[in-house]
Amino acid sequence: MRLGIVLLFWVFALNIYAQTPVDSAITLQEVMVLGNFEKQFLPGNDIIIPKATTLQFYHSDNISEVLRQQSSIHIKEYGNGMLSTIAFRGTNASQTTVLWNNFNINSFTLGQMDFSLLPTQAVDEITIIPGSGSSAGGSGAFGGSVLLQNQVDFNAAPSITISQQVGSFGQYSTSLNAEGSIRKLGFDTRLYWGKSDNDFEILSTGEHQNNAYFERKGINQSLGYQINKNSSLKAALWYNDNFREIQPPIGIKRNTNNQEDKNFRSTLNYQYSGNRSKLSLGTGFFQDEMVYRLDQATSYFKVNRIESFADYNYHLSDHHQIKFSARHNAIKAENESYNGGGAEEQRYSLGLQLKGRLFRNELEYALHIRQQMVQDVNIPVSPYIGLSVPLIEQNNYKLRLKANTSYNYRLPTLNDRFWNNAGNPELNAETGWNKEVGISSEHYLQNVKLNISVTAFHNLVDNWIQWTPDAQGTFRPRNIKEVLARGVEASINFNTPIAEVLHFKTNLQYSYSKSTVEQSERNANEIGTQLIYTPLHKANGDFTLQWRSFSLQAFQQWTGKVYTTNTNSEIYALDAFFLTDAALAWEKRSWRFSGRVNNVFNTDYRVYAGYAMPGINYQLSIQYQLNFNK
Amino acid sequence: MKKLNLLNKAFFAVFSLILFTGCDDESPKPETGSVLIIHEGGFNGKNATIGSYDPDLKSYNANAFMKGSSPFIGDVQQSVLQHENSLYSVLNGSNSVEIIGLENLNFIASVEDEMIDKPRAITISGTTGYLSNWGPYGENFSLTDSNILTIDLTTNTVSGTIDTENGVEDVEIVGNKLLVTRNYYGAYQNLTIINIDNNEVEKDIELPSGPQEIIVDRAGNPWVVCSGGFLVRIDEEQGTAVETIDLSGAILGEADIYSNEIYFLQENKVKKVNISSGEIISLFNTVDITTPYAFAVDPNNGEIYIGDGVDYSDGGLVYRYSANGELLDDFISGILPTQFIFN
Repeated sequence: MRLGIVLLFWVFALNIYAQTPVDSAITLQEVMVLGNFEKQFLPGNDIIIPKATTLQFYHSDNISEVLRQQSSIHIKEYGNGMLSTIAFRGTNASQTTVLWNNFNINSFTLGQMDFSLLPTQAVDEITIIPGSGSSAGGSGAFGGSVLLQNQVDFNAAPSITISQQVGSFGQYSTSLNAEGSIRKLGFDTRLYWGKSDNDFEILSTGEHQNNAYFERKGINQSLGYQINKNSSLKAALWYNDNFREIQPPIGIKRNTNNQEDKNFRSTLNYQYSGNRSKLSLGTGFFQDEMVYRLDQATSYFKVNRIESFADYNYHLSDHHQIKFSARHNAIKAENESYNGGGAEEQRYSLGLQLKGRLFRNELEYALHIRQQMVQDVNIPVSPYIGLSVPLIEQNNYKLRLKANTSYNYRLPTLNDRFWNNAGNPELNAETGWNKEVGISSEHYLQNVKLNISVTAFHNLVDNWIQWTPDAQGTFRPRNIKEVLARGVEASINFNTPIAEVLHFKTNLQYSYSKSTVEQSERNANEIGTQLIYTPLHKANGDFTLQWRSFSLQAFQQWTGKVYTTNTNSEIYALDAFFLTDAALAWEKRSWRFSGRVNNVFNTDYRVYAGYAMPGINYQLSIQYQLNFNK
Repeated sequence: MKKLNLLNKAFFAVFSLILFTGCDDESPKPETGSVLIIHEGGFNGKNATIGSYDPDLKSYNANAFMKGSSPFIGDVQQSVLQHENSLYSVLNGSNSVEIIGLENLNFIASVEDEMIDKPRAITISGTTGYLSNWGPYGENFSLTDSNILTIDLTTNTVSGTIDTENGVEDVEIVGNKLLVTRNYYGAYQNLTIINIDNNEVEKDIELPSGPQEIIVDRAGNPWVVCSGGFLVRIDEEQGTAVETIDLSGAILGEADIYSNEIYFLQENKVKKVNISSGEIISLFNTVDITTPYAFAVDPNNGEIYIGDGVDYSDGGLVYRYSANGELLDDFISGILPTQFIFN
């Protein structure tokens, strides 16, 4: 109901403003990226920004689909649309940070992110930075960081886009996106609602999946105000409400458990840009709530946080700049399973970043150092050094070398520290030393474009926290393992016209991630074995063929065998699988129609042991965009 | 519509029978004298297995049980009863009892019913099975409606309910009495005695903490193994505890009888107590066991088997000791080895 009112307000406001002539001077302002993560402070890293067409393809899905199609990321999914956790470069689910508008939104109780709670349609831009490190991504950025942004564009004319999707197993998804600017006000509004009965046929038994319904609704609203030439203000709010029944393993019929997650995130940013300096101040209030129900029993927790930061950026010269940053995060959790029914934690951090160009501006460098402080937790200083050097630079051929190394940390979670009769407030932070080197080339031949990149990484994670039973059989978290993750990531981007109106694009990726336990205080049999649910090999590719108003897209992924036990028993291993999703779309003026087929070859596969995934299924979508004059 | 469903089911049942009978001829038969190792499997992992171990060859077959091409019986294999020529596997997660042929370890039938909710253990008298059943969770994951379900083993269907107090665990029939321990993670420390002639609860007595397994000695006397460190002999007729042996310290809630002695695992020590004299003898120290989960003595030769659950989700470890404490073999088995069955 309330969402309806907001929507009405926007349509009403736009109609009025659409008629008013706007001062053209304002259009000179840049796109404002507040609360910026400063991607440009990471010259030694690969940065993956999935294309808008990919986000369009997976519009009604979770961002996990985009991540696994566009990077070496493997997503562990406990059934279709269920809890989805990340494995990035052979690290575990808590060792990748997810930031929205520069604020960490991983669960503070579990430390990980459930990617089934992040719909693609809620965000404007996704950036994947493998191996970004803690000095930029904060606690837990071992595998890398996933950045979600909702930007405000002060230049764009207002528009409203309405999408409707229907799909197999009672799937519906509706979304509305209003964006653009009116005078000094820029906005981006996203409203979404979706559900799925999710009673797909289990290919191995022929039965229909029970207890797997899910539904979600939410709003993501950003508002920017250009105060004057130098300063601006931005407020953003994201509320996501997700209800799901919990899909049981195949053949289990009595389960009646369900879970509801409510995530409220709000941020306020002020930015001032001077001649040589930039000041960015931000604060945010976040609330994560979860209720789990099984029969008459419920578990509930709530975490409230207020996080604030101040960044000051100063250009020392034309080629060098320095940035100071300070951050504070006040966390308060309510959880009956904690000692005293709750927990509080204060986190502070200070950082210094330096970046610039040397040797006739050819070598890009960045140096960072960051120190986080939490009472009773031993946290190391986190430095980063990154370099990017052009080796060959010609008109039609470029070759670049990138390298970086960083020392990273991950704080123990609230569960690790405060769980009743098990948690240990004095656990050490996990530490990780990441080293990587990559080479990337760009080739141009008339309209043909080819990019190739290969990166090798070596990441040694120590003080790895794991819950293991003690002598009394009580599970307790301890810093007990050392894990070495190393591997290679390769990608090829190829773009060519075939005829005047026919265009072909492809993006291929392959990754090899070997992640093995080097030391374990608990289980000698796991030493040298591959980490569970971490495929050694993974490959994915997407192909787009564009002809006039039509486009044909195919997304394919091959995921190698994964082990599900630390000792790598073959009988519990999950087989490799190959999946194809394809869509045909027609787009003209304001309309877009598309039909999509998922799992084209009806493959029976498992992402998590015992849980079914759907076979071939279909989706139809229609989209209409309403444009207004600026 | 309903009829069609039934027909479908009947067809499926016949079809699977043909299918599985077909497979049986090819599946390797367990060696004579082999030890079956029952694995609980990971919680919600649906990967419970039965492995077989040949003590002579020291060889372990992880997939002794196969249903079609899958070695997985279901979710959380809580306990298995060997009765005549069958195994009755109680699946706490799948909410069913799977009946398996002992000779070829072939799937025979499933007992499934709405009433079966988190079952724990089964025992059999004649053609009636008695299944302890936790029932649904109440608030804060307490139990509200535990019971014993009776199962007609001629049709493999649930035939009735015996209402009990909550937290029913192990079941054992002695004479015409059904003995039921009640525990539920220490919420209860009781023994319920039911007359199976009329299926009525006769008594519910309090025991020392942690009553788990019920074992019967050579003289036919039932003993309750209490993980708090006590062995309690029960007079099932009078419904009383007649003898309590204090083992001075917590033990694994699974013990075993060999000749006239009860063997048990206390910390990393294997000990035995003489039933007649009550004398406790410490036999030997085991290797460091992370998560003691299964303990049994081979009735053929007195060898001792110990299952280590490690971290509950990993390949468990099995240790085999000679009667005098020599480590004869150790190997990685399935997830959570919980029970040993000797032919």
